[in-house]
Amino acid sequence: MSNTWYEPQTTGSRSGVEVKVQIAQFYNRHRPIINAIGPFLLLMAMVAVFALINPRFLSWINLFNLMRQSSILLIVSTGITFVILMGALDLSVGAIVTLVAISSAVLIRDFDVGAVGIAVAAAGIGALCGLANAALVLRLRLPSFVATLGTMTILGGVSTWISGGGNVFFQSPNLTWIASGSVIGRIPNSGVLALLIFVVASFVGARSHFGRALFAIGGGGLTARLSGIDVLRTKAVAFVVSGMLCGVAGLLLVARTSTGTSRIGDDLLLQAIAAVVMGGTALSGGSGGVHRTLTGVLVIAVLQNGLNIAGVHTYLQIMVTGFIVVLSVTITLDRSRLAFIK
Amino acid sequence: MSGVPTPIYTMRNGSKRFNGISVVEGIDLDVFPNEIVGIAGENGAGKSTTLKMIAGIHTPDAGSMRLCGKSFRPTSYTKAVEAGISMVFQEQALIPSLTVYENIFLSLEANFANPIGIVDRRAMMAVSERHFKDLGLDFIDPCRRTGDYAFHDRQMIEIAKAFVLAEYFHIDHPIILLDEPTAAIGEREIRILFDSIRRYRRRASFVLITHRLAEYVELCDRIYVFKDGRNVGEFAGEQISEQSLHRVMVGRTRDDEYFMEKRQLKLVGAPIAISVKGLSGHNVQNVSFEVRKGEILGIGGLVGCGKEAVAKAIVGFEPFPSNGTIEVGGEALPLRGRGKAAIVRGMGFVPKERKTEGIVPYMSVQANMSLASLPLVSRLSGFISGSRERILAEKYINRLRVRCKGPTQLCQFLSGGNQQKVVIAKWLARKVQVLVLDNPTRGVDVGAKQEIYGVLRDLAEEGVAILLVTDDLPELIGMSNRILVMREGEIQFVCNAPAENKPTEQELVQHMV
Repeated sequence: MSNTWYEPQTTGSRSGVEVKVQIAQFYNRHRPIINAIGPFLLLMAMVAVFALINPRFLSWINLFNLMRQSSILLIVSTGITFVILMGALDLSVGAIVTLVAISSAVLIRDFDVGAVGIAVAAAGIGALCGLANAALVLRLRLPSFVATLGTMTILGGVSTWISGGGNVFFQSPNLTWIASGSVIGRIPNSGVLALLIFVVASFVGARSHFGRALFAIGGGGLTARLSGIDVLRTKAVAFVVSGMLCGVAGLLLVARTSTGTSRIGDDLLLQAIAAVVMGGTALSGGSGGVHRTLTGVLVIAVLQNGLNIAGVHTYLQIMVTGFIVVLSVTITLDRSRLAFIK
Repeated sequence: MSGVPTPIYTMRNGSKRFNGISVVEGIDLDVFPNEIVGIAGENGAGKSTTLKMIAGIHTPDAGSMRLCGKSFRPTSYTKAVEAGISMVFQEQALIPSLTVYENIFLSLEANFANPIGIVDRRAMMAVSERHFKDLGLDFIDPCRRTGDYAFHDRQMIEIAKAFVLAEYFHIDHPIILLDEPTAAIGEREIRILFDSIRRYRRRASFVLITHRLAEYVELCDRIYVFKDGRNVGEFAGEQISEQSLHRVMVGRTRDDEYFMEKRQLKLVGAPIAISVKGLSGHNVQNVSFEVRKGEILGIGGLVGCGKEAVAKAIVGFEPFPSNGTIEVGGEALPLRGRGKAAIVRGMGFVPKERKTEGIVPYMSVQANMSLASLPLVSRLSGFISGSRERILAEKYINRLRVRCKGPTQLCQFLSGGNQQKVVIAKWLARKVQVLVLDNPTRGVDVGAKQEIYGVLRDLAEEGVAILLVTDDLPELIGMSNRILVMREGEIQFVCNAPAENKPTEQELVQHMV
């Protein structure tokens, strides 16, 4: 009788385990490439399918339209990426967009504020909301999820109150021009502005001390602190930047329709989070990057635009969008970091 | 029962490897009925791993176990519990928000359910209450929230749980494993715990790990001593004494080449770099010492003696002992924002928990190396220059011989030793004047260890003051110019350790316990 009873497992199950290990090793070794290229390939596939269904999809008119449609989501997603990179979440982005849209509409209608003034006011209100988030998270030490859930609800109430529950119509040719006009050829201004913000933010995220601090905090908060990084200030700046970009987005949104409606920006929250995650930035923080968010935004924008052009029923569109988000995240998600999310 | 008792549990040739590194090997261990068995050894000797093998948490790679005469191979902790083995975990396994009785019957509720699935809570309470009465724990109300009880009471609840579960699975003689039960409780609670264990031994056997040798001597009938994952001694009854345990636990031959002792500087009148005066608080009392430029000062002592707290106070890693003053280069460090101030004054800290405090695993080697000195790798203020960062990283990769694919490889994929070199490089990049290290070679392979020692010697020659806090005795003795031994928060012993006249492990250890 052998007293070693930890005999090897049957060869069948062992090789099964080995294959799994090999897949995991392959994935781990090539994870950066898989994560970076996966969503891009998905995007290309979607473009090809939509172009085949309806050639009009690739027409200049439609592409500029796509740009206009995606510009607001791009700005909001860019802002929230800063927050997500450090492992926090800002649930109030949609509510800030709504608040800024409605207060801008009221300021123009009732106080006749000029274009420059309104731009400063929009960014300022957004930044203040971000500062409030930062205060709750850093001073009261609330988890960002809870704190921004609170501000989201509060700001939603404020927006409804300011608007009086109804729509706020206004007239501002300047603002309409900013949102819908074009300076460079026929490229829409809102698209140019969004891309500009995105490019600057990508550079800041990848190259600045602030961006590096975000990655360090998201990837290892204690290490960041012990390396002399000002964790509190970095976090505060991230929330303020996120709020301020929501302010810009809110102004563009309301300028397009010249009508402030309650809940106008609320959908942007989930779209923005989906875009960031699809781009390959982990919700647990520390990996990904601002530059990646563009792909995620385009996936969502191309889907909506393409399904429209293909004449898919609205309800079906929503379902397909949800399905693609799940698929895309499955390709991109960095599973080795899931332990933190649960 | 015959005259010669038979062991209730035996382990033969138990071995366990993690990632190819042998942690324990060839362990033989018996537990007799009503016996209190101790497993003694230094940190990393394999005590906890062995306990976890008994409890089914780790599956041994080789060897056999028998329980009550039958082959015993638990595939999980639950299986071990069903067979009559329970473990009281260092980090407690009770859910604070549940009541005591809910915790006791956690995952066993179905057995109290009637056919439509409604659980008979009264029965659960009654069973718990009866056991608490039997064990003399009447003061514990099974219906109260577990979190309302103090740590040591919760420990008793865990022990009670072991008895309840044993009865439940029809085990008349459970084995209860205690992993450092006294680490977090005070002297009075320790007495209560020990009294209880002595009373309960009529009904159970215990296996104990603790970091205080005196507790083994007081409590255990028989003690196994582990060293480097092997069983190196067994003591029973009269043979047990702190001295006898020590002699076996320590006492490796130290290789002076390994620690480059010939390179140790002879310091006469070197200027003082750090001066600590009257440091108190956080289990530290009145600690004062100085470190000179070019000196390596070692602090040793058992786990919990306060040596880590001293390191934390110097580098401002909160929470730290806040009374007393710490001067660097003649200027006192502020209490608020000390961490930042310490770095600005040219201090570096190599912390104990490499993965969470030393590196950011998800950042590249170069990003980790430049993390504390971003302005040095910037051309445009506030922005990192990729090329400067790479040049900096390549310099330190070469100097410290960091084995990586290149500066852009993620730190996560480096071995422990190379990760530690990255942490050290982070501070070298800042040209630190003072380096504080907390167990810098824990989990580092032998080759990388020696390379790290070489770097420390280089730094000392450049005039950097080094404070080395370590649990590793040969390292403490081999590296230090001077050694402080701490015990229960105070400095117990100070000695010079010149290269030609190093103290022995035994000399130091007698001041630790």
